[in-house]
Amino acid sequence: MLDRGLVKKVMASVLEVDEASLNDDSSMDNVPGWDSLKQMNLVLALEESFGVSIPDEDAGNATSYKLLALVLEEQLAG
Amino acid sequence: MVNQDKDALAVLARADAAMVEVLGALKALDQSAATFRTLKVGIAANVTVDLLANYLRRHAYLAGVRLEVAKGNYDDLVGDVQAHAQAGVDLLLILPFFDNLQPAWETQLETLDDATRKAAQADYLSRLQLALQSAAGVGQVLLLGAHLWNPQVAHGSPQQQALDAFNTGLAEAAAAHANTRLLEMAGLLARVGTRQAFDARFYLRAKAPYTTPFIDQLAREVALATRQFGSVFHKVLVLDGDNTLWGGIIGEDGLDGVKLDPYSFPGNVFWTVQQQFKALEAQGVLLCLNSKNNAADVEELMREHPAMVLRVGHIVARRVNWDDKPSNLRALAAELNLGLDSFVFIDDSAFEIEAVREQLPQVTVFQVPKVLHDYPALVREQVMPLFLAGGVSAESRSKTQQYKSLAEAAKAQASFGSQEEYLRSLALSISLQRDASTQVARITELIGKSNQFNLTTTRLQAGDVAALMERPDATVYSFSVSDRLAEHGLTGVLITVDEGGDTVVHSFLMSCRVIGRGVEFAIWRAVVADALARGKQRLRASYRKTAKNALVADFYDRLGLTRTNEADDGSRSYEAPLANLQLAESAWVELRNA
Repeated sequence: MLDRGLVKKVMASVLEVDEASLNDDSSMDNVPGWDSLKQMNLVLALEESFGVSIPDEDAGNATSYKLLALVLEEQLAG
Repeated sequence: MVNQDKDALAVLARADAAMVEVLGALKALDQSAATFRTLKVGIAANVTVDLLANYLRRHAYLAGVRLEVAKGNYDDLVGDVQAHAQAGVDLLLILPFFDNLQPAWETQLETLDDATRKAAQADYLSRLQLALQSAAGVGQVLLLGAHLWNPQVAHGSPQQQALDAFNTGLAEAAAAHANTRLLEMAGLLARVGTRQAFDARFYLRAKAPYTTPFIDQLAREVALATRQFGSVFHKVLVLDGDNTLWGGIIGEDGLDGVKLDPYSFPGNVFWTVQQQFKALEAQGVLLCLNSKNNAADVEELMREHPAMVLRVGHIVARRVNWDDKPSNLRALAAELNLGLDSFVFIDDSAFEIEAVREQLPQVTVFQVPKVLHDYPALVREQVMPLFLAGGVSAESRSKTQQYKSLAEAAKAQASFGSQEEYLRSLALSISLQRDASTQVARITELIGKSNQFNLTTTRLQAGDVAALMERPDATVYSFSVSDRLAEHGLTGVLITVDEGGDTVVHSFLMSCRVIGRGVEFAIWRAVVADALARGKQRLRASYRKTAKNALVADFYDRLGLTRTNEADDGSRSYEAPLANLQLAESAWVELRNA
């Protein structure tokens, strides 16, 4: 099972926003400061926290909470 | 410091802390009310190293320093450096990523003709020249050496040749600027391994070539190269004997029984680390012994054992006795006249290490690894960088000789009728220089590391010193001292700044090597004469109290100035009219260029 709380915690800390301000619909479009640079740091931090490696094509494209959770679940299952 | 801060620091100290934990701990410390020394850092890179800021901050907090990091733009070397210099950064990091000098540079090199290659690399180097010129006022500039993105190339390949030429260019640029130093990346990369250091995904997408673990190690390297962001200056390496310098116990195993030789395990481990210590000694590190043994046994071992690398002459001071190790360390510090925070101690016993750690937390301690074959790596990777980080100058190399003369002089002292008689016999001579622009690096080094004989402890960077030299109303005196026993090299700095009719002593500091010989008084003849020549009427000076400079608390009283004020924190202000001023003298010291 994916620890969804940890996903949000990592997102909050890398994106430098309050964890309470994140919800299931959070994405690059509605979180201030979530740019391509932060996206990269986010992927690196999530990989480290979950012990997985996110594939190249997903790393740049999974730019929302839902997509990130999906990618992580795939990797954890795989 | 509150528990929350301690917890955060504990997280930062854990090597395996995940990025999310590191970020959380940094946030907590940023909000902490505890006082940290602050330092401004600017980065100029031709790739994205966004995370470097956070990891630099990690290693800085561990050294008690709060960093403000300005990240700079992407590949805007001159613009970045100018902006950072203008913002007054204390430390500037320049990171030229070789493969991105031009797009996929290493791949291009395969088919490029010589002239095109040279022109492209020269372009970066000339921008670097420009940048370094505008960084002249920055305290310290670290230029990171270039490396290959794909290191799997043959010796003599176009890539390797072009890289070598580029690194030579970087080294030349660094050598031309007193505040700039080249930090080699090759060793760090080899240690981490390129597979672990590089991340092709983000290099191609976002020009971010490095992994988080590598960025972390790079930040650690920067911390080492800046002596923990200017917070430590190690000078003395104190070594235990048994199972630290040789295997076994000399008092029990005897001269023939201890394990020490170049060929067989475990004697070769001890022989190897002794070679490392000897190399440190040659670089100016002061080696001492602190061993629970009979002094005669150790003396015999050092003189007679054929495989002993460290001989009596390499050791500047010894405490071989049955006293506890912390007491011996205190005694060594007193004998060498150096602060314990400049001491590193290596011992094989967890008990001794713990005793020192508890009683003398300012001493950096290392325990000989239980797995003995890790010992040389510990010395190479953790002990040696503590000393060599600052780039040891040639003058530092003869330090051991100077300290030895100091010890011999102390012995000779006994046979003279009076202290003054002895001092006269030394034939002390001061060579004084004013605004010596060629000495800026040494002067800055001395300003940075003098703690005990330092009246105001105003730390200046190379750029500040150079700027003061340029000012007509300021004088930077620097002086070297020699006597019949030794050439002590540059030993003191005194800076005056004029304010109206007053000459104000901005800084006065000396290396502890020459204290107690009257040098500190002789120098004022020149200061007073110069001030009078500039038409000044009054000399003003102050003592600013720190944790370490009690030695000079009453210096200006002894010099003969009038105390006008003493603040609650122990700081004192002084003044005296310059005309017919009678100051304490030391007639036995010759002052040249007065």
